Amino acid sequence: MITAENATRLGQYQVDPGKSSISGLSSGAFMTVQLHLAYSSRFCGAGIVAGGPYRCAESFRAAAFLAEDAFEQSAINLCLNPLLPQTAPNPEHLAQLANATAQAGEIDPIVNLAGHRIYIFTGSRDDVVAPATVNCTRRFYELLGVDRKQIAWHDNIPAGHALVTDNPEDSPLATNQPPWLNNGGFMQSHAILNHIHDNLQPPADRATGRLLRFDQTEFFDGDPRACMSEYGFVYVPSAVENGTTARVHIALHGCKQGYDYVNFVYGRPDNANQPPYGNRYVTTTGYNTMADSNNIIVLYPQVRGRDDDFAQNPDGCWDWWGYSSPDPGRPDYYSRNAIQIKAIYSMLRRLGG
Amino acid sequence: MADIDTSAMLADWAKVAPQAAPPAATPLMHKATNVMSNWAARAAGTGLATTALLPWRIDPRSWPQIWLELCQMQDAVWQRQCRLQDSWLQGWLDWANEFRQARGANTVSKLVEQEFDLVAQWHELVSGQVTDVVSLLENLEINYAYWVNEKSR
Repeated sequence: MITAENATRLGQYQVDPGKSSISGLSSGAFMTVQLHLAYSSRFCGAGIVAGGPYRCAESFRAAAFLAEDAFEQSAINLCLNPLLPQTAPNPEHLAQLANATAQAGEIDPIVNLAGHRIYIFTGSRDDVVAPATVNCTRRFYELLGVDRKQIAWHDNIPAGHALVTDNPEDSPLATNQPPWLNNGGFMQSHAILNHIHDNLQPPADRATGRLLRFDQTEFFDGDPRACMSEYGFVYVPSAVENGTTARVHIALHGCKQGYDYVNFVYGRPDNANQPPYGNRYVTTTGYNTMADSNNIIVLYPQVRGRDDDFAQNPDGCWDWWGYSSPDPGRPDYYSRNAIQIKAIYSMLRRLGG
Repeated sequence: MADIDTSAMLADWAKVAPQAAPPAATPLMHKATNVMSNWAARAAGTGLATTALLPWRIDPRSWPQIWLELCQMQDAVWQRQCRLQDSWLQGWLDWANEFRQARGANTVSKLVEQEFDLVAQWHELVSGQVTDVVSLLENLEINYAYWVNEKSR
């Protein structure tokens, strides 16, 4: 039996600094924005699929007495399901928050974003994260100084809430349910990477690198508050293993897409059955074939579901509303101090990015 | 038969029986109190903020936009309600279809399981619908509260 103690240790490679990128779906997209801003000096671009703007969950503090309750109410009712565009998150207010956070030294300077390329997608049939919210993300980046020409904005594909693929076994395009992978006849991961990076080669017909499972617990000291899984995954092209200089792309899955996510049935984890979706996000979303022909290391951090005193996160989402913060009244989920952001950044540094 | 000395028995019992502790609030009661307090405070705050939008307190030129957005909010709730009803109806149709089907059962245990499955599915449909209604009401409440707070600034 493989245990975390003897899983592969995440290795180090020759990586071109400042040329890394990051993308994600849903809560992975929210975390993408957070990580992108926290360490913008390390990245050259980001891909946001069905994700909202920075600190979106803090849109309406008066929603409840306790901050953690207010954030959850805002997250569910304003970020995910605004009734009107006027009740969607306010990008001007959130851009001000981002600037204030940078001035406080909790994230990298906002000016770093100016030269970045951003891919932002919302399916027009998305019932989970409202297109109005994702539109706020686009406006948010514009307010932070990213030129419109550098933002690839897509809102006219009749997709549900999902990463789009061309896998026949994936769900129909307009579906809004797990595993949140929908067949739309193209690999969205390729579109993301092509927008962020210049002159990429077409994807390899067959990936020849190695998909490695590594011990993720060393990056968060096994702290249950992180809600992260024992293992993470990384795809390393064979040329990179042989010493070729690489770039790193961090691919963040959405809720319920971690390799060890199990459904909660009547409020209890269904541990009697195997995880329903496994590591499909890691193996079938197309990142690896694109990475193979372009010397890109793809890092797949993993988060798991838990619903207890440590974290209220039964759906296995990345933290974009504060569940992992040690002090709910003064949350840190959006800053360099956040346990998940620290963990993922440490993985990036270990790789050499 | 000798009389049983009940007083001695009770005295011995009292020595070992724990002190009756005052009943502790269950976690559910505590959670319910918390969320209802939030709701009450929010309702009070929203009511106060709404008075700032009364016709004699705002610029008359903003009335049309405010009325338009209120109507749009109402329409949005109606549309969500319709979508929920469609999905509930589909759920009941699927359940009824399953109820009518004569599935094979080679064992008594499988037959029993099938019957209980139908009951469990019925419960799940009902609980899902109740949750949907509460979610929609909460969504409307938070959206309206946020909207009125933004408007009254």
